[in-house]
Amino acid sequence: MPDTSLFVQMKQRVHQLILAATLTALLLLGALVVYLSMQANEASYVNARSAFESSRWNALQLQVQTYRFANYLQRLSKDDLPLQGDSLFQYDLLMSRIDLLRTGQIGDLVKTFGGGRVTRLINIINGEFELIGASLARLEQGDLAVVSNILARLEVTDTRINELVVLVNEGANDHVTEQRNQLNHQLELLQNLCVLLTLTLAALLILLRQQTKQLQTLRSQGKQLEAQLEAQAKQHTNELICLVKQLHPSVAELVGGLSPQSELSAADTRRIRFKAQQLDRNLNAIQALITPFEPQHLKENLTATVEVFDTLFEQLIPQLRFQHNRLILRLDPSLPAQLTTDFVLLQQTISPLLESVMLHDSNQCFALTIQTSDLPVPTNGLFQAPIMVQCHLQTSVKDFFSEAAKAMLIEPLHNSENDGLMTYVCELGVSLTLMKLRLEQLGGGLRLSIKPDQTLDFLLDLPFEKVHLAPTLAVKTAPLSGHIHLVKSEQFDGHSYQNTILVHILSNMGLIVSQSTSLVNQEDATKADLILLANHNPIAAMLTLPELHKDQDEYDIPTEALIPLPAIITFATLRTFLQRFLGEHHGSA
Amino acid sequence: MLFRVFFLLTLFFSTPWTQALPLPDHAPILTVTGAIKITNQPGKAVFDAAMLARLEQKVVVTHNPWSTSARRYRGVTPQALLDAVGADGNVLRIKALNNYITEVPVSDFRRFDVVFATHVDGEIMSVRSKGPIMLVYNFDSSPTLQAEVYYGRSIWQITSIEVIQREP
Repeated sequence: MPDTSLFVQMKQRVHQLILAATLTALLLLGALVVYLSMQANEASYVNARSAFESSRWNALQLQVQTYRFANYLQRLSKDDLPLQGDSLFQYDLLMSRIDLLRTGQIGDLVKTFGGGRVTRLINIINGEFELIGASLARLEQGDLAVVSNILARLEVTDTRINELVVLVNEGANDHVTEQRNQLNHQLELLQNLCVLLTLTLAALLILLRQQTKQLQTLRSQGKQLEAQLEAQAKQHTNELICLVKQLHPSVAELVGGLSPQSELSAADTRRIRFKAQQLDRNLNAIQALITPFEPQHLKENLTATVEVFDTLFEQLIPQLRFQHNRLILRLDPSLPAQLTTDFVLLQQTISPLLESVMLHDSNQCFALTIQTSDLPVPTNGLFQAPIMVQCHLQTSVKDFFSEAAKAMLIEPLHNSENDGLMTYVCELGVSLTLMKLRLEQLGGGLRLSIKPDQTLDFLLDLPFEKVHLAPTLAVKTAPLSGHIHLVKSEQFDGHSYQNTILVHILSNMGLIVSQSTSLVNQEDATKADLILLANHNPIAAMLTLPELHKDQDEYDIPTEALIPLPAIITFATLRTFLQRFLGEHHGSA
Repeated sequence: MLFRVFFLLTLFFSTPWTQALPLPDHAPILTVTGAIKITNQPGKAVFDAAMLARLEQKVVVTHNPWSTSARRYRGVTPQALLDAVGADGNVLRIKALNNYITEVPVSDFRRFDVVFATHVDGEIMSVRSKGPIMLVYNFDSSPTLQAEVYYGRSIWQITSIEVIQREP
């Protein structure tokens, strides 16, 4: 039994060779037909001209002109004298006929007739006529006696001229016959070639029909294989989802089993609970990653931008406070006020990074800016009207990643082709790897940049669905009025980006903002509606406040105007906070 | 009154039939007869070589079946000759010294580059070299001209032309 695949391959190869050979034959035959057509056309042209240029006419004209010359000489009498060149004129007429048979294309043709006998005859006749020419001088002088000699010479030449006419006639007939035979031969060849061409074309059509059938068969086989693969992938996905779902109860059971009466310390309990929650979220992320993404699901989850991003931090706020971490969230006013998104999907996508980075260490500062991204919108068909949004997370964190992980995230596009999934998992951890994969699946990405002081900045680019005619946040949000003075202590302030972002937020809200590092000699502070103790961690605030209160008394600043800023500032909390304090003095806009 | 006489005289002398050809000073080489309005002998216009040379000249360089290479033909433009005799016909019946006759439509002179050649390669055309006059088409200018019809119309040793008005 032959190897089936090898046999099929050989069969295909033979088919390809036959097809190539047929095409080559077709081209060659086509070229040959064109060439022969041109040749036949040229031959026809030459033949036509030869027919016209037939030397028969010129040979007969020579004979006629000879008789005319003889006739002229016979009619000459003494009354015609002096001739005044008339005989020479008649002679020239005769000689012009000889010249026509000796020169030009006609001369060339005539030379080939009669195996050289025609050429010899023409030369003899020409020689005789040249001799007659010599006698004409005497005739011009009035000597009519030379006429009889000339006539005798013409009579002798007449036989040769007659022979010339016969030979030229035969030669011309042979020439025309040969031309016609050549044409017939070429025509026959052309006909045969046309038949061959038609047969080759027919063969080509049959081959093409066979190839088309094979192609159709292959396509249908391909479709079947594709369907089988899809079915298998779906089955595997369902199995994985099922497995992940079965793991959730175990994790919940683990967390539920941690009672205050257990022998574990409070710190250990908290740590285990945290790890269990992290495991649960990872399971969710895995489930999200393997579940086919359904764009239509987005349309069922229309959410305001502000609420979406504030809600992301709700679960983290207790832990952030516990670790004395500080966070400020800024929403770019140019963002659409509404974006279509799946909140669960968004939370699953972004939360792993926020959790990993923000809960990594205590006493850290974070600033998250949500703004429009410069990256091109994805063309993966998941979104009908996508808009790329960037989550820019500035941190005070330094030693979070290994050097290899940093390299992977700084140049993700460069590394993604070379590094395998396991390399990512080893360097970034399961959560971040899953998040990165999910972002890339959606058409976004995760990048890392390291500032000169070695602190980390994260850039998450994520596509959202645009809401038709949605106003921008700046348009939708009512502005506030008032003057805010920010007091920031350089002693405790290591991260000015939080302060910068706060100034941006307040300015965007329509507030007048002034800043200083103390209240000493600050005219702006005396005019301010509210003095915010900004950019301090809570411990620093406790230490700084009494000093500031002294300054307040000294510079006549109302005590109630000096307020420490909350550690966790989201869009909604800051607005509520400001409205509460400004409302007591001036009220909101 | 004086103005009217002047106007009539101007009109009279400006019409072609009133123009007269001079008589030839030397032996005539071409006689034109038929539908012509300008003559210098009763019923015909006779030209010697000098008279033809005074008419508008042109040059045609072309190959032809009677020579092996391209030749430079110079002579009278057909239209100049027809104007000179006040021709009023659409066909020329041209006769050679050996009594060969061919008919050439006047329209050929508008469609193609044609000359009544009196010189070839700078030399006067003798009887032996197809002179004194030969009608030459510029065969190289168009494939249409490379046909028996036009080779046949290219007559040499021209001695007379008869202008004919033939019904189309």
